[in-house]
Amino acid sequence: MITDEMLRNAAARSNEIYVSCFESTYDAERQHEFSAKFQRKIEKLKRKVVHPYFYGSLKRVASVILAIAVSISVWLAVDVKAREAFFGWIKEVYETYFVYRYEGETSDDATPKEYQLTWIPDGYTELFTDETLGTITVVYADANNTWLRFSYSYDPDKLSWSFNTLDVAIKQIENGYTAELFIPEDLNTPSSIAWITDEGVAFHISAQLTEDDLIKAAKSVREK
Amino acid sequence: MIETDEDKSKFEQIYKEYKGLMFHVAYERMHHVQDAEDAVHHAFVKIAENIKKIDPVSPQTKQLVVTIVDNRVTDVFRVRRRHPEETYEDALMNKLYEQVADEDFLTKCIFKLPDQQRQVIWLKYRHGYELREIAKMLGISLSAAQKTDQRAKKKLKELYEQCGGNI
Repeated sequence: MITDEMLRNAAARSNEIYVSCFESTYDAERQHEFSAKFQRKIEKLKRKVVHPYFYGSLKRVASVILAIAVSISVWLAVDVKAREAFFGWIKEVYETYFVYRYEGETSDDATPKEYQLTWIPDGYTELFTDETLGTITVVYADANNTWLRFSYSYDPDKLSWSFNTLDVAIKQIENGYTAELFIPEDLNTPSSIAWITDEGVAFHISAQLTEDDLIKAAKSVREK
Repeated sequence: MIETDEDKSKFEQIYKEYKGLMFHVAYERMHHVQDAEDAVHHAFVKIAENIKKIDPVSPQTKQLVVTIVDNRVTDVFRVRRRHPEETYEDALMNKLYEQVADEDFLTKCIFKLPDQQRQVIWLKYRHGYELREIAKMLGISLSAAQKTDQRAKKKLKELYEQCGGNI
């Protein structure tokens, strides 16, 4: 019988042998010189964030930028008047993005609530759950490994969320709460929906779904 | 994905330390510079996506990143439904079999697994990742990772018994 310990030992040994086999013909002093194209892709990768429309944290900006135009032709003059405050969240609007930042009170005694999607599209199954910086993200995937991300913040004191508005159509809809729907012009980029409840919990779903399915998923959120 | 300065620093160290070796591994199997660079880039995308679950530069991390790029090469071959000239892969495997001649049966048997099964075994039993994490790292579904793990262990059991290992 092959025990787990036997398997671990054999896996470790075989992995070591495999790598040493390649290392025996590798000269670190005469490494391959990567193409400029490759190096540009790596530099871009280093700058990439979790999601093109979703940041886990953002540096505070000391000054504001005037005038923002979004594809629904709404002009917002960016000064203190453009800072909407609701349920402790502040929305700051900049030229090509806006930021939700929590400035309300938080309680150290608060027990984090857990939420779930009670509806997901056919073919999607849960892949993994991640918890980072007070935000829980549940990732689902279909057979083509297309992802659907469901995120919510239970500890907003640690959080600011940023949303890119460049080349994105933004709609405001009612899904129980006023939500913002982000529809990118690039069809290969996921759409997303974000909203904040009157309990101050921020939610965000991103996926390559139709607007209707995205809204349906958003409306299916329930406390566990 | 890379979120913090610490993530970025770890990624850059891994990149600097292992990019050359990773290219070497990819090129030894593919014998095509552009394809090998693409495989290395794809591997670093996976490393960036999983940076929080990857240790800093170490011998174990070296084996991990080699496994990741090795898996990418396997994927490319599978999608293209062809391998380069048989001589490349045969030469590599012959060299490996020589190296494991004095190893225990089970270690030898691991090298008889199909590429992806071997890679999943390494990621799970050598590097300690859960199948969910392996699925994410390799860009496959959880069910695919589970099936690959099951098939690998079944195959190992058969090979082990054929190689004369005790039941």
